[in-house]
Amino acid sequence: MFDRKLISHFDFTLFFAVMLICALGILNLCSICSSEENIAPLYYKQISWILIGLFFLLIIININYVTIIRYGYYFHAVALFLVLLVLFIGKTKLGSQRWLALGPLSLQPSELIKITFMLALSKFFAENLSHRPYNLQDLVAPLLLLLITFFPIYVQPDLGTAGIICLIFFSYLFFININKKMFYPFLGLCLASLPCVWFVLKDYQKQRILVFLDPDLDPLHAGYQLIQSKIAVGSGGFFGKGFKMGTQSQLRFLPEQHTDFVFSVWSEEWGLAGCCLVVFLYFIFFYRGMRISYNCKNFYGSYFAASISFFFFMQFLINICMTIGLFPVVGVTLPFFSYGGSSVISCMVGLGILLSISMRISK
Amino acid sequence: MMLLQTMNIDIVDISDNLVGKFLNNRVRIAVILMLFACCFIVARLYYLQILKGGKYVELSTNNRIRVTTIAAPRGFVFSQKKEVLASNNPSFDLNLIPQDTPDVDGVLEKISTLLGLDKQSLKKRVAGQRGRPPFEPVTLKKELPWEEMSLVLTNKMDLHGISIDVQPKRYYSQGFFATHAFGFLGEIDRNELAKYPQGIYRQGDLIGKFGLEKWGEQYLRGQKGGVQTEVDAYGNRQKVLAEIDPTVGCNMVVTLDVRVQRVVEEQLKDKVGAVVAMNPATGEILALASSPAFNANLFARGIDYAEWNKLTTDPLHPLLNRAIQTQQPPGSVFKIITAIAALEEKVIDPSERIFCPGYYNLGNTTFRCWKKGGHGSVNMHEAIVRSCDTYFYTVGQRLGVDRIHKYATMFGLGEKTGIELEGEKSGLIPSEAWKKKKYGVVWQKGETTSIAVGQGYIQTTPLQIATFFCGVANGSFIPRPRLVHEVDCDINNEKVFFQTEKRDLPVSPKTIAFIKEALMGVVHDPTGTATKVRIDGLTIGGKTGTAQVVSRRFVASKEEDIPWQYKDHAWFVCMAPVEKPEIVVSVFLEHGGHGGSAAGPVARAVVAAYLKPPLQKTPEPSSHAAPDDETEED
Repeated sequence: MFDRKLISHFDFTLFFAVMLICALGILNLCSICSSEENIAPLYYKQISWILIGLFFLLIIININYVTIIRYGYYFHAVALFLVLLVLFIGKTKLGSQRWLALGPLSLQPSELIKITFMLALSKFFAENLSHRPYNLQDLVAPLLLLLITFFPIYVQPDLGTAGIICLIFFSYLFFININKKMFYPFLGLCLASLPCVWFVLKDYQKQRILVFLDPDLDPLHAGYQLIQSKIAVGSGGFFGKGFKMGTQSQLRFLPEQHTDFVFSVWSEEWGLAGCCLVVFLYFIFFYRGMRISYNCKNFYGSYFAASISFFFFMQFLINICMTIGLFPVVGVTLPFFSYGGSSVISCMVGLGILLSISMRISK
Repeated sequence: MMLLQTMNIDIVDISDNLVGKFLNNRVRIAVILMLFACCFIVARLYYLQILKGGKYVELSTNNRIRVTTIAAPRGFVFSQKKEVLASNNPSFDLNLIPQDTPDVDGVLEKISTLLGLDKQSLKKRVAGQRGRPPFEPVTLKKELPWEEMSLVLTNKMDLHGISIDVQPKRYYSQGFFATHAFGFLGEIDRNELAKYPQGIYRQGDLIGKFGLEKWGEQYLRGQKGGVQTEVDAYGNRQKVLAEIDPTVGCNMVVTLDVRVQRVVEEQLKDKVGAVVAMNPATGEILALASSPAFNANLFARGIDYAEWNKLTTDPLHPLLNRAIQTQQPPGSVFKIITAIAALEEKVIDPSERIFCPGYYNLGNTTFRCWKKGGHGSVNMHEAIVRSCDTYFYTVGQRLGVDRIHKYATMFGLGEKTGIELEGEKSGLIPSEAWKKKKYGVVWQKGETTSIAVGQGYIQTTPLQIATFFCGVANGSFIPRPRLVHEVDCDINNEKVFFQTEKRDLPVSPKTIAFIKEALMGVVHDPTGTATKVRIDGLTIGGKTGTAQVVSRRFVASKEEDIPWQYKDHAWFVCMAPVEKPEIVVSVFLEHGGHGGSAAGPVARAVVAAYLKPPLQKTPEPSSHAAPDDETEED
């Protein structure tokens, strides 16, 4: 089973970039924890999550990704089942039902379903290749898949993940060749239906979009996060305020600082220099992921590598844009950097598959 | 559709077919997209952290650093004899800090039931503070009484964000004392906020709005102190970063003489008018009062609307400072100016006699002397003593209006005296050029006749009359009237003294001596118009005056029949002792009637209080009194 060739193709650059991101994330969490004595150090937990994630990763890289992707539908069905389970027996935190209690741990299946959704879509597209551009009728199955995945998450409600699910789907539309004649009306329809989305949105979600457009609309409540985050980032300057010196985070002006707004904490304490380092590491990560897709000689791997790299990129882009006032506040975390067990584990699983592809690139 | 499913996809080399090439192409585009996005993020970060960094650093500092101001006690006001005239008392305010109040509505509800306040108005107050930083306290109620304070304190646990803060409150320890001179405090308005550099005042602060409180604002206000604390997002104080004690405002010593001021106010009670008493040598104002007055203590922490309304709608205008804002013809008081002008310009010899038949004809117009039968043949001394109109009509004609204007202006009439109080009126001394400019018509000779006896266009304030008399008393200069003697600042032991400012009077001593003699005659000569003013053992020189409200021709001649509002304004101005004047008193009574009988006794009491304490309740000097008809001038 153990093959020298596998090791030689292992993408160390990608792996170390991600490990470095994890390490910086832990360092960042250390800084936040200092001000919250009553909570068990968060970075301890994060380290254990990462170790658990690495354990999964280690298992996964030893499995041929083709096998995993071929079972994509089953994995996705299980994840979907868990998401539905959450709806009925889940724990409620912050007004939405996202967590599944597993003894002392709580699992967030909506994190996992992002990966399985990509597995399922990769399987579908790899197995339904076509020389001519796809028409709408060819995409009925993936569209149905999107709908049944989207709704339970939307109901939770988890605006961020639901959006990410849609974006994953659209990223596939980018990577496959669709009939332009069909695609543009479809895109037009989607854009035209955007205003309708407004009426589906919950009040607090509307509020978030409104305050994104004008944070001063409600500076004490809905606009608060955005304003405080911008202040945190902006006050970092070039070299930042220094480790554990960020007043915005230490004095808890920043909300959700260990999940959604970790990057704000980082940029306040490490400044533009630190931010550039993180952005650079992420770019290496994405680039290497895309490179795996490019070099992979197999459609399963190529689709999955492209989509998961693009998925990490989107999470990264949305999260950071959120913290710097370029995107409404939606609950999207920064992969490998934000605190969160389910997030870290599912990201590690995704990374494992990506690395598995890299190791078997020649196949 | 021909799918490739039939092939073994495990071994499909994607670079060999079109689908694979398409995918690889898209991957390439995706990488470019990512690179672009990363550059964009870095650019945005550069914008936020470098270009706008300063602004955000400031914002983050404002976030965590909370400055609580400590009001500076306002400087005291003392008299020269160290009597306290204005001080500060502690007062307790009920404040709410919006940022520390999670449930503003609930807290307001509790407060309103606890103290019986209207919840809606409380809500309005809090809502009215939008736009101010949420950590700045909103005052819910000022001057909380003890029992309400204890109510709030015992329920403090349920009232998050509520605090009781001590504020110094202005206290005028002498009650109604010289309210028009002191003025009052009021909440700072937008214009005033904009006028001063930032940081000195804050919305809701009290500022001197009027009188000495306004003039001395820069000295009296002191410097606010503050505590700079670092707070977390929940408003919990983490540590005190800096603490600055407030600096007490400078104390002000005013020239007012408490005893004289008291007598003045007593005398003005139930009358409408003003009194100014000055030290002619220094220009120090010994007393300044306007009646009716108001209680300045009402303004101490900001007056409420109803009280303010009552003051502003009062038909007698208690807020008007009549001493500096009333402009009325000085009547016969002005004859002194005409006399000085005549002597200086040598248009008449003081011994020259003019016959007064009781009227004066100029062209077709007849000007009446106030004494129907006439004064007979009078020289200048007699004309002043008996206030003969005909004499001054004649002299006025010889002088012409412009020469009268020259001397009136020389004595400070027609322009502001320069007292520290705001809103002083300048009065009016007409001239030929003035009339041409104002009305576009040439000056009529007949108008000079009225001016010569202080009627017509001419307008003066009680304070101007007082300063003018100071000039006569001194002979060589007119002092600028002043209320502030010195300002003492405790912090740097700095004292600002205010010197007497003199304006030279180019009038010959001979003229002054003659005039003083005549003025003394007004009081001491049996035929004088102000014999009621006499005080045993004191030489007083004065002049009566009456400002006509309605021409006497149209009104019933019987004194008692004239309704109050048609009665003439009474003037009396005097100096004592004449040899070396120590006090000048100017009295103006609205609709008081005749100068000598109405205003004279007021001046007498003031002079007596200053020079002969305590006031002797001497009987009216009736033995010297001439018949009524003689002492009452028109």
